[in-house]
Amino acid sequence: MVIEESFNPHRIKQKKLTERRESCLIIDAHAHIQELIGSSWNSPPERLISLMDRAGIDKAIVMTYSDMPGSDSELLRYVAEATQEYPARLIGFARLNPGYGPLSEELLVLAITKMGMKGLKLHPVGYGIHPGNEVTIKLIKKAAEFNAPTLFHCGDEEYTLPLQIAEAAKKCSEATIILGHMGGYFHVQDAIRVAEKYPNIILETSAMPYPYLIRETVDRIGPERVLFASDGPGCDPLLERKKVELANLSKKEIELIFSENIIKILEKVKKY
Amino acid sequence: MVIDSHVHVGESLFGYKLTVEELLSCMKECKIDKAIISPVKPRNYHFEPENDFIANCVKEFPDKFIGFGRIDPWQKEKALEEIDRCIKTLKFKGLFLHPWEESFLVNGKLLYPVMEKAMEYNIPVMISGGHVRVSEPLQIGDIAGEFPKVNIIATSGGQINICGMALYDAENMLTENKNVYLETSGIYRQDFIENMIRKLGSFRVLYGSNAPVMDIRYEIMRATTARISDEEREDILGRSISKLVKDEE
Repeated sequence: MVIEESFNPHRIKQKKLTERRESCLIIDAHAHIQELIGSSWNSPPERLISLMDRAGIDKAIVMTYSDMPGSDSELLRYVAEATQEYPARLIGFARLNPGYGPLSEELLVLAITKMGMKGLKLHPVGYGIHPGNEVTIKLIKKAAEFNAPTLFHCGDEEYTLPLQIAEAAKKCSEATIILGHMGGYFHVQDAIRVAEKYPNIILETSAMPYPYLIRETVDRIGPERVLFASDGPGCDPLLERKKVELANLSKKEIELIFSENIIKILEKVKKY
Repeated sequence: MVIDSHVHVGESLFGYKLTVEELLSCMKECKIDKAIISPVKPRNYHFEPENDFIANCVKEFPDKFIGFGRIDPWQKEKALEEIDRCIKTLKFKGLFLHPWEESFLVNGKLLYPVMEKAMEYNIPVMISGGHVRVSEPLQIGDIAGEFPKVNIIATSGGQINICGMALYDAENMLTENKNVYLETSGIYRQDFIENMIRKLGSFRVLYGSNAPVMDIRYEIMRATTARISDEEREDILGRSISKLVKDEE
């Protein structure tokens, strides 16, 4: 079984980075890897890492596009092997379908305790279960037993809307819930609203196209609950990084959003 | 020559606004030579004065701006008369349509007379693309198929979906309809732009910011940071739209 080295940001080997910066570490809180040969979604780890190099990004949290359990039973192992091959660059999250109940929970425990993964990724569009549904809640609570965060795809589609995910945040107040894409194109105001209401909700910036809304988010919920992410390699990490840099943030806010906040979250995850 | 192919000037009913001065200053900062400007939907709901305003901006800064007229198809006969005025009197080079803000189906019969007018004047029609129920990729494909002689600029490539679920339809729609051009504002995802440049040819991909809804400083980076050749970059940053609006002289 593959076990990742325990996470320590200070041990990251500095690669040749195209985009230099003064001191701030950059961790991408949401990116993808998966072999999908022949598709534009094909994302071997090397595709992501070369874009991270170009963008000056030190480390990325990676997950697959497909859910486990699913047609490809090797997906968790694929992520584990990639994080083992690139321990200084990649951190794994287990993308699961909560609909299999005990089996989903078992896979999550395996992923965290034996495969070095640090969190749960849920994309309800893939499996069609409401974020507030009992099976989803059980899985989020299981992750929380390990202090592992749950990253939701949070956009403009049914079952991914901020107000729907808020139900999960309410039912699992002990869990850290990250809203990936912070509400997408049309639901950012809802995402900020629910983050104002529930202190366990964190917003993540990937693919949402409005720099000014990152500034507004920081003004309304503080810089400690905002994470930089790219949704790479489909979205370009360089472009996503520039977006945050255009949001009129202070140096301290930038440091928190680019890495300090996510480091704090990952450090709490139980180590095995 | 760098041209932003999609900017709105004025103060919108929906809260966003941009003045000529702000736009010129931002263009200078981002090294943009020219912009295609069209009206916002104003608080009084009337496009005629806004079209006049855009025409005046172009008159004042002919080297900086190219004007597109905006109409509401629900105005029917009046909308068609306004198109005549936009082209003959105001000398606009194209039309801008917003199916979401004006609440009409882009492939509904209501739009057919408008498209016939566009065909008559041989002008491109820019459509705010990707809005659920009114301007989805396949709906844009449908109207494009009915009017193959009208060049259509689909903003955001005709898809605004952060799930990626519209990418398949958008790619097919753009591949099948050679009269549809992909405008890059707010696009999910960057590799869609890069792949479409390879698949469609860079002359069918246009940089546009959709300012002030979106941020010019950020949107132009979709073109400047794309992993494409210098030739392709020159096309999407200006040459493609220049040909489309016959602004090459």
